[in-house]
Amino acid sequence: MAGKTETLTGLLDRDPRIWRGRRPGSWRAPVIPTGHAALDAVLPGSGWPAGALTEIITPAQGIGELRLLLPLMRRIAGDGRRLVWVAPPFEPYAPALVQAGVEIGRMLVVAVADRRRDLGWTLELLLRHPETGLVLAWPRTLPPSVWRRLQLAAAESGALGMLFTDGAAGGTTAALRLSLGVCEGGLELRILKARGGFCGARVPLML
Amino acid sequence: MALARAHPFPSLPAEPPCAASAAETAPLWLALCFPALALEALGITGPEPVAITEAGDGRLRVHSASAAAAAQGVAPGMALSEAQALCPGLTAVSRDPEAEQRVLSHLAERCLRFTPWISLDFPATLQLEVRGSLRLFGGPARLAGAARQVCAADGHAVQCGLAPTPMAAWLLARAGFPAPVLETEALRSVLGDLSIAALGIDDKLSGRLARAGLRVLRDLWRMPRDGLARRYGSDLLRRLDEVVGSRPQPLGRFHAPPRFRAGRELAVETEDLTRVFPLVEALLAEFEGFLRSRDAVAAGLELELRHARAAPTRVCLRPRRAGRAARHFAALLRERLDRAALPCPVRGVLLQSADIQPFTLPTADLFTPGAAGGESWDELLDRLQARLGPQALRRPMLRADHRPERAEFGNAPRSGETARSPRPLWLLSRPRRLRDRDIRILPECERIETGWWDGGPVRRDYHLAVDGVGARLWVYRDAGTAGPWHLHGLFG
Repeated sequence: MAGKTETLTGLLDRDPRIWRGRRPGSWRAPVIPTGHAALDAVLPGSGWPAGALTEIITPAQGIGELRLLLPLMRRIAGDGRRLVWVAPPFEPYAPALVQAGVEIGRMLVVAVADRRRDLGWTLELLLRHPETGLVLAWPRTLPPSVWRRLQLAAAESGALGMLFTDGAAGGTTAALRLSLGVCEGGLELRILKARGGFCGARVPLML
Repeated sequence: MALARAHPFPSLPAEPPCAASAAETAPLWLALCFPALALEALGITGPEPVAITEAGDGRLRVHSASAAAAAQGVAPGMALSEAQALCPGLTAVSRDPEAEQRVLSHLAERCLRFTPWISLDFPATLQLEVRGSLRLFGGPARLAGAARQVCAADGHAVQCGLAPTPMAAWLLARAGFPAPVLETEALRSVLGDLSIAALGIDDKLSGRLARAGLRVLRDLWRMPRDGLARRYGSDLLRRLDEVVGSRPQPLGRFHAPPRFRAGRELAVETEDLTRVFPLVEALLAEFEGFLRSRDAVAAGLELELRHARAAPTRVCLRPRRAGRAARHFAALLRERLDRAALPCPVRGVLLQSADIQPFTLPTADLFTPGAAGGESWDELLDRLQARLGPQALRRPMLRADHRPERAEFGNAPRSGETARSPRPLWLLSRPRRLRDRDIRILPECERIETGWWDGGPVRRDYHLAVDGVGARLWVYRDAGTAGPWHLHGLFG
C-alpha cells in the first residue's frame, strides 16, 4: 500500500502541469524573479512566468507600470536577450533607461501604424523568435484567438510577453493577470489570475 | 537556282586570298591610360588647386595634382610640404585606391564592346587586346577613337597607345604618342627616344643609369645584355624585353561581374497576386541556384511587375545582410506586394539582381546555440520592416545633448552622458500643453537652458508633478515666467 502511495506521489511530482492545491513549491514552470520580494512571495514559482503572457491592466499611463518591470528589463538586457517595445503609447526614453541601469544596446522599438491588421502578426513574429527575451506591448484589446496564438509563440521561444490592456475584454488566456492601482506612496497590485497559484492577493509596492 | 543562292553576290570580284601572316594573328594592345584617375575617382573636377596625397617612405607625397595646382608647379612625387609651399591654397585629399578600382572596373565593363580580353594589371590603365576587332571597327585609328569617346563620355581624360606588346602600348599612351605601332620591328625606333624613367623603375636605379650616361631607351638597347644584368639587375632587363616582346608578359583577365536577369510571362493577365506569386517564387529559386553555383550572395534585388497599359511596378529589396535564400526573399516580397496597390493587371514579372558579392560564412558564436537553421534576427527585422514600413523600427540611443527631446534616437554612437537628476521613462515626442488637469507641482526644479547656438534654443524649468490619477509627470514652463505648464514626460 505504501509503495502505491509513493508511486502516485512520484507521478504527480513528475509532471509539472499537474497542480495540487496548497502545496508550496509544487509549481515548477520556468519563472524569472520579479525583483520585488513582496511580489515574488505571492506569485506561483516566485517570479514572472517565462514562456508565457502576462496581462497588466493599468487605469492610466505613468503610475509606475514601467518601474515595476525595471528589474526584469535589467535582467533580460543583461543576459543579452532582445527587449522589444511594440506600439508604446509614448517614446521609451533612453537616458532614463540608462539611468535605471538597463542596457539599451539590444533594444528595439517597433511602431505599428495599422494596429488592427499588423499588431497580432508583429507580436507573434517577435515572441516566436528564439533571441527575444521580453516583449512589451500596448494593445488596447486583442481577440481571444490572437491571445492563444501569442501564448503558443511565447511558449515556443521561452520569451516573456507583457501586454498592457485596459481590462475591458474580461478574462483572457494570459498565464498571469494583474491589475494595477495607485495607493499612498506607491503601487497596489491585485492578482486577478495566476496559473498554478491563487488569485485575489493584493500586494502594495513602494517603487 | 541553287547556285544563285549559294553565291548571292556573283558580280563581286573574288577577294584576294589573304594569307594569315604572323603579324596579323599576333596580339595587338590598346592601352587606355587615365592620367587623372585619382582625381576623377574622388569627383574632383573643379577649378580649385587640389593635390591627391599618398603615404610613401613615411611621409605624404603628391600622387597627382589638379590642373590649377599643376599650373603653380605642384608635380607628382613631390613632398606635400613642398607642394604647399609652392601653392598656398592647396587642398590635400588622400588617395582612395578602392574608388579608383571601381571606376576602372566600370570603364572596363563599357569597353567590353571592343574586345572580350581586357586587363587591369597596369596602374590606372585598361589594356585591350584588339587584334581581332580591328576590321570590325574600321582600323586601328577608328577603334582607338571610339574607345577614347566611350571613356570621355563619362568625363575621363584618356590617352591611347597601340602597340604589339602591352608594355609598349602603355609607354606610348603615357608619352602621348598618337600614332599606332603595328609591327614589333618598329617598336625600337619609335620608343628609342623615351626616357628610361618611363619604364616604371625606381628613382635610385634611374639615377644610377643617368650617372652612367644612359638616359633614353636607345642607350640601353646599345649596351651588352649580360653587362646590364650584372650591373643593374635582371629586373631592368626583363622590362626591356617586355617592351619589345622578346619576353611575353602574362596579364590577368578582367571578367565582368555576374548579373542575374530573368523574366516570366503570364498566360493570362491577372490582378490576383496569388497567381502571380508562384512565378516570382520560381524566379527566386532560379536566382538562388544562380548564386549558389557561383558561391555568391546578392545585396538585394529588384522585381518588376509589367502591365499592359501602365508603367511597370517596381519593388526594390535591400535586406540588412546580403543573402541568397529564396525563402527569405519570397517572404519579404510577399509582405511588400501585399501592400503595393497594383494600377492594372499584371502581364509578366522580371527579376534583376543588385550588387552580387562573394559569399562569406557568418561567424557563429560558440557558446550560444542561437537560431541554427531558423530565422536570424536580421531576417526578422527585414520582415517587420517590409510589412510595417521603413520608419517603423528604431533603436533607442543616447546623444550628448541637454535638451531632453534631442538626447535620444540619434544615429551617433553611444557617447552621451546621462543627467544626474531624474528623467522620466516615457517621453512625449512633442510636449503637450496642460490645460485643466488637476496636478500638484512638486517644488524641486531643474533648469535646462541650452541650444542658443543651433536654432533650437531652450530655456525651461522642469518640475515633478502628480496628477489626480496618481501618475507622476515631468512638466516644464518657460524659465522665469508664470506661463502655461507643458507635459513632457511620465515617470512610468
